[in-house]
This record gives sequence, C-alpha cells and structure tokens, in this order.
Amino acid sequence: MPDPVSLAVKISGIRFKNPVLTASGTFGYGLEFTRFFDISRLGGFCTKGLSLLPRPGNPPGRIFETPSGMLNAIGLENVGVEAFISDKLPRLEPYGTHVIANIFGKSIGEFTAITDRLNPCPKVSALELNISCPNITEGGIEFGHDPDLTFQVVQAVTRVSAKPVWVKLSPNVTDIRIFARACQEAGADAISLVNTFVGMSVDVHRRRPMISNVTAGLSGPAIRPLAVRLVHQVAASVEIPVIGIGGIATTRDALEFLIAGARAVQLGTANFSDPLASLKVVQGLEEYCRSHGIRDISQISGSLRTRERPVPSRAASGDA
Amino acid sequence: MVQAPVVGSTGYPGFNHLLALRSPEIADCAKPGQFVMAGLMDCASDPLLKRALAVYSIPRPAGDGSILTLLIKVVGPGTRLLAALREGDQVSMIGPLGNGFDTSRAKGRVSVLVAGGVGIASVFLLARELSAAGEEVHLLYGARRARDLVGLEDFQDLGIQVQVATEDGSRGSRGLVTRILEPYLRRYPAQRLAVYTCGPNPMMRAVSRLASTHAVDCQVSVETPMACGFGVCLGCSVTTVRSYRLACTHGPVFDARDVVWDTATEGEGIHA
Repeated sequence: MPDPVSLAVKISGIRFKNPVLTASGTFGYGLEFTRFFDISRLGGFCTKGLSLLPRPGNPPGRIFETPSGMLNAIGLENVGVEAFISDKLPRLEPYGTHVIANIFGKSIGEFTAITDRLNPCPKVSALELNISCPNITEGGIEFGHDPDLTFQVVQAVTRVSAKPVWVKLSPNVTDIRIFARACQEAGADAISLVNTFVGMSVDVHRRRPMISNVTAGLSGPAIRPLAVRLVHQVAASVEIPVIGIGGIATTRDALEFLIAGARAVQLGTANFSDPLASLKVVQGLEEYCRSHGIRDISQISGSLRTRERPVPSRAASGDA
Repeated sequence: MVQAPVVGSTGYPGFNHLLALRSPEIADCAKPGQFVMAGLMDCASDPLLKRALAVYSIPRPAGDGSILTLLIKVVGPGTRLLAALREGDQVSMIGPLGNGFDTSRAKGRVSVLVAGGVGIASVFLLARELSAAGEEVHLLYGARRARDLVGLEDFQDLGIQVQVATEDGSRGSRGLVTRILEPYLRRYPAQRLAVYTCGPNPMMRAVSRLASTHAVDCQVSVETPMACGFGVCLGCSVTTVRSYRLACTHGPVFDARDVVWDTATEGEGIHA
C-alpha cells in the first residue's frame, strides 16, 4: 500500500479536496457536466458569469478556432443571479464540490447587489469577481483596466460579502502586479488569472471580422506560456493565494502553474473538447505526487528552482 | 464520451469522405438529425476542438451492429485529419447530441427532404425512418456540380424518389434546388406536406421562404461553429424570433418560422 498523498489545498479559508477547479464560462453551471462524471471529484468549479439580470449575449459569430486556441465573444450570456439561485443552486446540493460564483456588473452597485443576493446561499463557497471580460463594455473591464477602480470595486464587495472574495484579473494590462496589489490592499482573499487575451481574426474572403463583436478573447494552449509567466509574476508580488488559469489541458500543464506559484488551477477551454479533462488532471496530480515522493501537493506550489547553477567560488575550486 | 475504432474509411469525389465507426453508445440510440462531436484525441491542441458532424447512417448488416457512419466534407485541418483516418485508428466522440428532426406530425404527409451539398448527411436517417414507416418520401438534392453529390445510391436503395439539381447542370436540373422544390409546394395541399432541409444557409433561407409562402411546415437543421456541442461554450447561438438559441442543445433542428436568417448567416462556413 503506497503512502497516502494529500491533494488538499486551503485557499481563502476554504479547504479544497484538490487544487483542480474549472474556469468560468467553460463549465456552465456545473450541472451540464454531471452526465460525463461525478463533479464532486473536483476541488470546485466557477459558474458562468452571473449578472443582476439575465443577459442574451452577443449576436452569432461568437467563436472562431485559431492555432491551438480559440477566440470567443459570447457576451456574458447568462441566466441572471435570481434564476441561478432558484433553478441551478438547489440541483447542485448533492455534489460535494465547492461552487464559486463568478459575478460581474456594470457598476459597483450591481456588484454589491449580486453579492447581497448570494450572501445567504450556503452552497456558494466564494465569489469570483470578473473585472476582466474583454467582450462587452459593461462587463466590468473598466474596473479591470484601472487600478483605482479595481481597488474600489473589490473593497466595496469585500465589505458586504459574507464569503471569501476572489478577483479574476485581465492579462490585457501593462503591469498586472499593480492590479494584483490593488486587489490585495482592497481585501481580496485570492486572485485568479488570467482571463482571455484580447484578439481578433479576419475572414479574408469576405473582409469581415470572424467574430461579430470584432474583437474577442483568446484562450486555449496558445496562451499558456503567457499565462504561466503572469502567474509567476503575480505570485511573487502578493501574499494572497493565486489561482492559475490559461490553456491548461493536462496534468503537466497544471503542474507548470503550480510550480510557478499557483495554489490551485482552473481548466477552461479544455472542458469543451474533453469534458473529462479536469478529472484526468486530478488523477494525474495524484500519480505525479506518488511517483515523485510528494506527500502534500502544497509542497509543489511555488517550488520553481531558478538559481540552480552553482556559482563558482574559491572553496569549490579549491576542492576540485 | 467514447473512444470509437474506425472500421471503414471511404473517399468520394468532391473532397467527401465516409468514416465508419463502431460505437454502441451512439449508434444504438442516435435519432435522425442528431450529431456527434468528433476528434482525434481528447486533449489535442491543434486542431483544438472536436468537429460537429451529423450521424449519416447506422448500417444494419447482419452480425455487424452498432456501427455509425459520418459523412465528412474536407474543408480544413480538422476534417482533413478525420478523413485521413484508417481502420484501427480511434476517434474520440461525444454524442448523440442535439434534438433531431421532429417526426411526430409526419404521418400521412408527403415528406420532402431538401438537401444541399454535405447537408445530405443530416437527412439519410430521416429518409430511412419515414420510408420504413410507410410514408411517401422525396429527396431533392442540390449541389454545385455532379461530383459534389454523395450518397445518392443510399437514398435510391430506400426506394424513395430522388431528384437532383446542379448549378452547372452536370447532373439533373440546372440551377438551384429551390427550382425543383417549388412544383412540389404547388402540387400538394399545404397540410399534406412537410419539408425538412439541411444545407448551406442561403439555401435553407430560400427553402424556408418558399415553404412559408406556401404555408408548409418546414424544419431546418442549421450548422454553426461549435466548441463543445453540449451547451456550455454558448458559441453556437442562432437568432430566432424569440431569443438567441443554441444550435447544440435547442437545435440543430429548428422550425423554419422561428429562425431569423439575416444574422443566423453571419458565422457561416467558418468552422473547419
């Protein structure tokens, strides 16, 4: 019998049975995946972004596949926080996984109003503020591209929230550390990054944008190295936990983010082509720990070795 | 999700390809008009996404059940890889997906199936089910040129009436398929007809308009770019008179009267 391996991690006071979550916008409201596997096996999942009122989303021409990635401009189509509470949450009760409610608003007042509505819902473990959707002007992106507004919206939500508050950051900024620090100072309990990189693709025959919104968010393996670097950078500049997101599809990908400094990871686009991808990463992390003699996955987080090469010294040369 | 072995692979002219796969999970329950998401591996990165493909047929030779076939038009890297598969290779599939055609009101009516190009893939199971139920079924099949017509023999084997239109006149009537549809709409009383169509959006839009003009029931099977196929990416929206609907879970078959074509065509033909 091999030694037991602990995959459990603690983030913002919550114990997750493993560091594998799924990203907002790629996992529906969780229920859509119960036909594929027992979602209780996951550490948690982030819901589709919830607004105060339902939103219809953008006109067709919402997605386009690119090399090792995809562009999307869904336009935050969602059922609204009321329907989420009445229709979705009760059906999530049987599943022993953490539900992270991803929320967005076009004003600080909307963010706090949604927070108020979710406060009495015990099945919601934490909030994830989306201040980084690139696809609609009222999608909170103005909060995510101005550090003062980031501070204000995070502070307003943390003041009224009964639950831990995570903030999902946009990569489309000059220095992401400034935004991460603003979140920390405003009382955020964790930071998740990255949301999609804003991109664009053109149909050269019709000379039209591939996406009706013209610009769209790029996700998938294509952005992974960019995301790993940003996670590494942010993890080194804040005290609060960092959750890594960006093109993760396999165990190896998840480990990259953990080693670079993430406490947990979220799988996104991979859920589309392989609904079991997150489950496979849970299993793969356990195997990795076992084969590397790691008892506790937390030991991996931030374990990147950057100055391995021995510096030549007089003592060393004297020994030789 | 299933891993299905390839049991047959046949090339046709016009960049068309028929792939046969053994998959009891899908073959034993797929209904006419449903589709699968198919790809080479679970976590491939390029191409990244599975391809949405109609279940073309579920052959039923003795002792060789649980096979389904997919008719693939090679239009990009994803479909090229699928078409290159050979016996023994594996395909990763999710399905059957989507609502399929509604045949609850087909009894006693003349069913007119209008297909364009590879859209033929969506209507073979429908033709088989309707003709097995003893209904009168006609296939009107349009394509650019004769070599783009695939599967004609399969339909002829069902004993249904088949008419062909090609834009260059290389087979059947010269011109668009709507030209051979109109006489049907005039010949029968509206309540005795049911139209089912799958093909390029401009064709389906024209078929819908004709059916609407003659007050004939018409179901359209739309094709849109699709990332997941099971209702979470929200990428495959179709504009309908009420709201945006998802081609994967609400469709791919819609009542033609509900579809708002002007914007439904915006994402046309961009998924390969």
